[in-house]
Amino acid sequence: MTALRLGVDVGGTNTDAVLVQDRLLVASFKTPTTSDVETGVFQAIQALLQSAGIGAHAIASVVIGTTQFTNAFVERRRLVPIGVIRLAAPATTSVPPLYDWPAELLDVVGREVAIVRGGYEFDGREIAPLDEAAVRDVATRFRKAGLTSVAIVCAFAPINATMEHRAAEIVSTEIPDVQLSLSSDFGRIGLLERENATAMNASLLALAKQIVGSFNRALKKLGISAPFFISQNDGTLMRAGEVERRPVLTFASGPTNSMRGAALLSGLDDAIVVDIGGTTTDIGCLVRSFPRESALTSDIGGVRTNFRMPDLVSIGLGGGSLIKFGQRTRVGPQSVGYELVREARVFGGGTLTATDIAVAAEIGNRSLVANLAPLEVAAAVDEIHRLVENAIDRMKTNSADVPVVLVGGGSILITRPLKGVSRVLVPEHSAVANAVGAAIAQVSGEVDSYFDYEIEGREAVLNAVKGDAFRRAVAAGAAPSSLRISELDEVPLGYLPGKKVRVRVKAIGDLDLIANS
Amino acid sequence: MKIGISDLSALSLGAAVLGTGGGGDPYIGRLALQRQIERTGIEPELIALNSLPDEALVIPVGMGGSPSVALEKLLSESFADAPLRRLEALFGRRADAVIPFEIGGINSLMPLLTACATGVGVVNGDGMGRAFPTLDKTTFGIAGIPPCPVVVLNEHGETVIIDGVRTHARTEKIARAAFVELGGSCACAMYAMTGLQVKQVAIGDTFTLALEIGRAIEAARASKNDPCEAILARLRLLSAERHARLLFDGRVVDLARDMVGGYNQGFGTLEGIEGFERTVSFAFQNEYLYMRQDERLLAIVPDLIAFLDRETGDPITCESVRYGQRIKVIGIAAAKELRSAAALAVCGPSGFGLADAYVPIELLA
Repeated sequence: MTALRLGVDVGGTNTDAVLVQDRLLVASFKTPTTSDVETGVFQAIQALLQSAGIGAHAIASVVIGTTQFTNAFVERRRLVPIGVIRLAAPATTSVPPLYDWPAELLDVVGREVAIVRGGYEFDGREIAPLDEAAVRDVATRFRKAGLTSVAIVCAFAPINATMEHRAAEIVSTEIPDVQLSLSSDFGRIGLLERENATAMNASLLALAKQIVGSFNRALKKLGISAPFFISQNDGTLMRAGEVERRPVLTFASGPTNSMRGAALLSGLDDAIVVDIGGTTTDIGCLVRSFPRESALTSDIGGVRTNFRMPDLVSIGLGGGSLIKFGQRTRVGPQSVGYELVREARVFGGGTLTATDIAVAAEIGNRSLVANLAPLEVAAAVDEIHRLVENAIDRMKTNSADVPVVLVGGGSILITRPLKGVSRVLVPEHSAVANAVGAAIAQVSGEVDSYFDYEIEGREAVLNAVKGDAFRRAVAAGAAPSSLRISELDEVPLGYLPGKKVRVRVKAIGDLDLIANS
Repeated sequence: MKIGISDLSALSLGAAVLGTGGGGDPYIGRLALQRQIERTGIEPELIALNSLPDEALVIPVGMGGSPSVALEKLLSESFADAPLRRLEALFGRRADAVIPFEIGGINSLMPLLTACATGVGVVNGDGMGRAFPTLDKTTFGIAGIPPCPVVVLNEHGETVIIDGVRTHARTEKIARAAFVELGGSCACAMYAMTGLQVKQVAIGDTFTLALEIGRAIEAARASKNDPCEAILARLRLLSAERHARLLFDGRVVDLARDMVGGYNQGFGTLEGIEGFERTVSFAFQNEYLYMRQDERLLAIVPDLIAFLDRETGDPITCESVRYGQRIKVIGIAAAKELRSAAALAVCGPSGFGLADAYVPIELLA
């Protein structure tokens, strides 16, 4: 028998649990999310295993997807005060750490920052030797301020992390129980965005320990001893222990898991995914079963970051969208939202919603919407389809017709073929797509650094970088035989002599269940 | 006119549009400037070209080196006043005003930073009316103002002074060697001028232009209107005779990059959407150089070609343009100072090794 994979999605409203085997959904269970995460996860998995008649020992791997960290950061809840040390002076001094953070966020995480001498140049030289005494002084100041969570950020750390590690040692000596967040763990070039990610991460470290702890306790109570992972932004996995160090990497895992799940449930690797909810529709693009990533910097909770986020278009169309007739028929962006089941006409309410139009046009009991003029219904149906067609067109990379995977409760709004679309698939079980996406997550390794093609040669550089990405993926738990390069991006560096190029490579592989069990 | 903190987001947005794909991300400069204004309480004062005294000493200041390196090294506090002070020392007198080399990108903000740190005024104008890849392509140089003495320095205060070099191109080459050795991202000052010279050679009112473009985008976003249309409408309002139009609306379907002589060069193709048919091709060398459909030119340097995210109006730089992006391209006629025969020889198509003759964008409509 091949491995049974357990996927759990802890969302804001529901906690879903699924069992997946051989890329097929074996069983699923949905339950409301509890304020006490441990209980919710325990109950969801217990009910799932019971309904499927499967014992805890049969589970080969557990993957949990969660929006807890994103929500905590955006809502400024359960964050701890942090200290930030940047190693880069006398460079960078005109913009101190956390300078562009919103004031109400700073009120929570504090304003303890320092820039000390140190850091690297683009070619690996030192900007200045690390000022160890200054690091020690700052650490003492942080300790006296009662800080136990510290972010360390060095200029060009993606090229050389040595100074960050040395500073980490010093801080650990000064603050014995400190939790550290190092920018070299957050890959990319671009000091400000990397520093923000590192500092956000530091503010979440205490919560990460709690949440991973409650997941672990739930699994232990259930008698599940299989390796336990948490899904990250790009649809790949992190070991649970790793999440305790880098919770921020889970930030965009919700939409990513939803799209990955849609890929599996529909059997399509390349498609547009249209997720129609109550208020909004999210449209993303699957490329080889992974969401295409956005090239723009992303703003999370008012902070500019370098996270790998799925490229999504959101429009104000959902099952609860309000309909307004007039010279032009309008659908949304206002919506009755979660009140749909009380407010909509088909549920006996008094508000005309997109769901009523869908019912009048096509499906279900029309008696409650029988008084609508057929011409008005037709105009509203046209408008709904036009909105979705335009949004799909925005996500396409060429004019060829594409397959569309339709998920979400609002998918009933689509009642006829869509322009520019080759076919529409509405997979079964799409309500648990997030948990399925978590269950099938793969493992990745990434390298992002500068090289000189004139000195090292392009081919030699690319081979070395791919090898590094493979090694990182294997270290993260990937099966060596399944590895492939999923992204390779070369950006030449302007205004410098030679052929200096920034190379970013991502390797992806299946979770090595044998090595891990 | 003073530049206050509330102007900075519009100014840096407009400066990025005028960067025509290059010039570096103004975001870091904007943060540095905001902090400087908060700390000193000094709001930089813009001086109209025609109110500059003839005998004033005006010093262009800015950044030199790689914008990619600046993403890691940001700006050192010393960059605000050090280049100005070093060049002043060579002249033995205080400067009366500073001026940007280029209004496009981060370099538009450096003189404001200097003003904030030292109290000098900032000329409402610049030497390009856009961004160019090298500092020899300014109206200052084109008009024969000598670049030397040139001050180049890094965050340690290590300073290279270039003097006695006759040509602009050679000065640029020597400065570039200095940038690399000094860490790849430097502050510099050069092309010192009298007020009279500035009035004769600078392109005027370009801070106003950047501010207006940025404000148009912000207003359009707030009212859910099309930012590109808003820019074009605002430009028409500012100057009826200055041509500007939507060149294309499409998505990137092909992109090839290479590194030649230290420049980020590339070619790409956009495929039309919503009313724009077929494809257009474009080329860039740090900034966008031309756009054409088949053999027909739509716009060519020095006229401005700006790539904007078709939903948000965010400027898309040549470094960040990616396959699949949905982009609106607007073309804006270059300032008249860049359209003289002497200027076109330096910053027209031939200045970038292109075989095309320059045709003004209004004749290509």
